[in-house]
Amino acid sequence: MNGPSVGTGAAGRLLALATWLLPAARREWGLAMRAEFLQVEGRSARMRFALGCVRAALLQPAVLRPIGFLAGTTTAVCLVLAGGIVHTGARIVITTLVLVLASLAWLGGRPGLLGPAGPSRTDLAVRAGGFAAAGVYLLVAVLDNRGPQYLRPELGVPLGMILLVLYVVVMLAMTARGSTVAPAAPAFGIGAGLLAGAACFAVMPFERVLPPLADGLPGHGLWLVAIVAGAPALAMAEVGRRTDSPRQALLAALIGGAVCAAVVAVLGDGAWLVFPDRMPSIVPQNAGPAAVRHALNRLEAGDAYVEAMIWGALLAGVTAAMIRPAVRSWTVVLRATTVAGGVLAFACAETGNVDLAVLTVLAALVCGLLTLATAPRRTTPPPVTEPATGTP
Amino acid sequence: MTRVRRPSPQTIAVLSALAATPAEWRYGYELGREIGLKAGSLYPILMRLADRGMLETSWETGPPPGRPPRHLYRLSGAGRALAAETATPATAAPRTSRGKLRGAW
Repeated sequence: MNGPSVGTGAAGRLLALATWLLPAARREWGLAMRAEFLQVEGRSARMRFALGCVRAALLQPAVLRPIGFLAGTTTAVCLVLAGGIVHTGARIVITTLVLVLASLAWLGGRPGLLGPAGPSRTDLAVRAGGFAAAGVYLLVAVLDNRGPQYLRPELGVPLGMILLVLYVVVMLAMTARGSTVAPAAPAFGIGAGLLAGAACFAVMPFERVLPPLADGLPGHGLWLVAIVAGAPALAMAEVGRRTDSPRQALLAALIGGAVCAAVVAVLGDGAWLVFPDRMPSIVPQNAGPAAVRHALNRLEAGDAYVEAMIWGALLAGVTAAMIRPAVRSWTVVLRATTVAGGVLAFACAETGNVDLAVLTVLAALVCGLLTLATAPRRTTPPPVTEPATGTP
Repeated sequence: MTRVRRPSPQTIAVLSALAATPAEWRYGYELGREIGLKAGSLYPILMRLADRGMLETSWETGPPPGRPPRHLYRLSGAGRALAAETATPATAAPRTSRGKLRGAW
């Protein structure tokens, strides 16, 4: 039903653009526009009609979405490039992070492992919150890397960047339509993780060398330790009670742990940005000018928070392995390897084998992501669509 | 529960025009001219109404040689019900103060 050409004039080209822009599901409407266009008399009327058709095509969500997405990504990249980051390495790293997050956001809307979002409001809220947090991280990263850098900034960014990307991947997989994670698991897990993370940060030695922030609280704040352990445990119990599923309950605890680790890392590093004058002096006074000493102090104090990031990565990896049901033997083996790797990493860390612990975390993480990628997805019936045509 | 929003004045105008001759198949361009809506506003409304089962669509049969068949529209049963529902005194004047609907392009 292609019919005759609409001509090569400006109006005809605009109409061709409109029909080209229309998504495949709307092709019939493109043919309708073209047939009507041939009935329009007068050059200006044809031009107005063609412009209207272009507008109608642009208003389609399927057309608006990629345009808005592209515009948003381009704006974010431009802001990063114009944001005053002078160090080339940091610019490359942060721009890459923007592009990776944008790609993940795009994949989160496409059918597949990461999307689209499930029907629950929790799924949407978790995604919105996750991307908002990622956006804040990006903004802080841009602000933090503005002006002269006294250390090689690209060395500090990738670990946080990798963890952020990992968390976003797990979050998307968990809240995707094909996921079997009950909405209660991320809801209670994230809540518990935020609470436990704040409590954990308060009871840890502040910036590695200073007394814990909780020292000033009654009982030196030791009761906060109960929150650190209790919040994920309570989330686990509540999700288990609601879903009657040990896997969902375990997922809530894992999510809680991963969020807790991320909160500790963010608060630990963020304190240097918010309270730069109250930070400890760890390196000797002769280590260089004040700005260099500040950067070195931050690096030295960050060890505990880097450790938190590594544990967060492990927990995110184990969470990834638990998101989809393991029904194939290959998936069962991968999941078991992931969990065993996690246990081994803890054992290595406890016995002082830090390098081996880090390697084991990496191996467990890879296994966890492979488990997620190879596990079968929950199948949902396709939406019923009715043909819009009738008979005259 | 799905929240039902009241249709826009433009949508109500389309519904009213189609409801005036419910059995008759209408062309898009003529419909738009009748109610003062440009293609940029009319087609999204027609698409939405068709998606929601308010509009029946068809193709013209036996067009003159050299001319493609035109798309035809009329209200479905649900569309007629919606048109009757929206044809209340409060919405009987969907036009702007200048007497025409605000249609883009």
